[in-house]
Amino acid sequence: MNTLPNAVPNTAPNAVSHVVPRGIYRIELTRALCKACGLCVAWCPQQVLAADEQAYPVVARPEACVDCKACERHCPDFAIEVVRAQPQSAAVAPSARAVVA
Amino acid sequence: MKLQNSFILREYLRPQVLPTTWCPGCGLGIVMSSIAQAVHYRGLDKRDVAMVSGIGCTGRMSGYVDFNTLHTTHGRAPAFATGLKLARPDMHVLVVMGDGDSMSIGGNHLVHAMRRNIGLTAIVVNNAVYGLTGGQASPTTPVGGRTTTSRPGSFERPMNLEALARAAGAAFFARATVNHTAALVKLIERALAVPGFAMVEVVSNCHVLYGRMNDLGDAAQMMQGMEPMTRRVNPVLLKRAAMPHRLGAPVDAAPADTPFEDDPRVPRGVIFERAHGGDYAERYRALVSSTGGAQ
Repeated sequence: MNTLPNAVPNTAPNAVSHVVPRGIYRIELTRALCKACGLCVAWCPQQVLAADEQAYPVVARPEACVDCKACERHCPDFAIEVVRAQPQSAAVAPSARAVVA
Repeated sequence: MKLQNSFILREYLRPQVLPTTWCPGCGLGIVMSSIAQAVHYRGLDKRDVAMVSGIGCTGRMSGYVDFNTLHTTHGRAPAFATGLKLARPDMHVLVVMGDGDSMSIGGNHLVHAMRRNIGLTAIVVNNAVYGLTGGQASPTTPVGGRTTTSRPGSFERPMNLEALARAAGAAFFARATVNHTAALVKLIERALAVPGFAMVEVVSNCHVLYGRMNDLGDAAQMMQGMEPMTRRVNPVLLKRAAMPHRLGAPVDAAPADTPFEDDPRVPRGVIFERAHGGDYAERYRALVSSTGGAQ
């Protein structure tokens, strides 16, 4: 999980700091609370989530998540959550270095 | 930054009674989440917060949140809340009502709570229909809106809650939608800081009853339809840094009589804010002590 499959290499001295790291977010779904309303699937701008045959959301492309939390904000049932798979410091390190440089 | 859902669940809700009984995709869950976040960002202790609700889909909210809660009779939530605020002026009292609950059944209680300008935070969730009882026309059903009691389309003019709040004497009125969730949190946050009567009208979706009869699509389509339906006013007031020193400064986003005349889109944001004329609970206490009554 923590192998950063799609992480943007950001080691150049003039690297832009607004590049969103990919592949480090994990989406947790709580099936017991989910009512399959489809709001999270409708709002995901990266098509990370898809509906299964019963309309429940499944994480189809976890590596594409950009941590916008649109799914989390619009979930009326507190059943979805975006979490960083890595500790905060490790995840922000490349862009922080770019700011210093 | 948004609070994590697991944190809201753990700190501000009663997980043992979840999931909620609301329909899949109902905006009420978003309102409940926003209230919890606003209370958190204001730095309030949940033991100092009370939620009073009436009857209806919205009235069920007091059963799910882990504040001090009071589930009361239909439309009488502002009356119960007035009593609670007078007994415990230190408490932040939230009154959660639906459109029918607040403007139809409890219209009179709401008007007089606003007249007294007592320090309550009223959240009116407006979905233009009576959801719990089967989709009857409510005081805010728009002209032409089809419901189970107005099959050819409602021919009555909807109530203008904004004008009512202005006329009755509320200190603060804001409008939000369940589509614009970040603004909703900030507006409730701001309303919680107002010393007088503060009202936030939240435009919500009833896709199961209203949306289906009016071909408005599913929950997501109805929520996304709120974007072209509304326009943003006073965005600067939503900046958190601007909040403390701008509180109480007179604000008026729209002319008093017809806010929708030149632009059919409904304004959302802080619509008006004005001086509250002294804390009602404090003045009441002073009166009681001046007559030799118990503190």
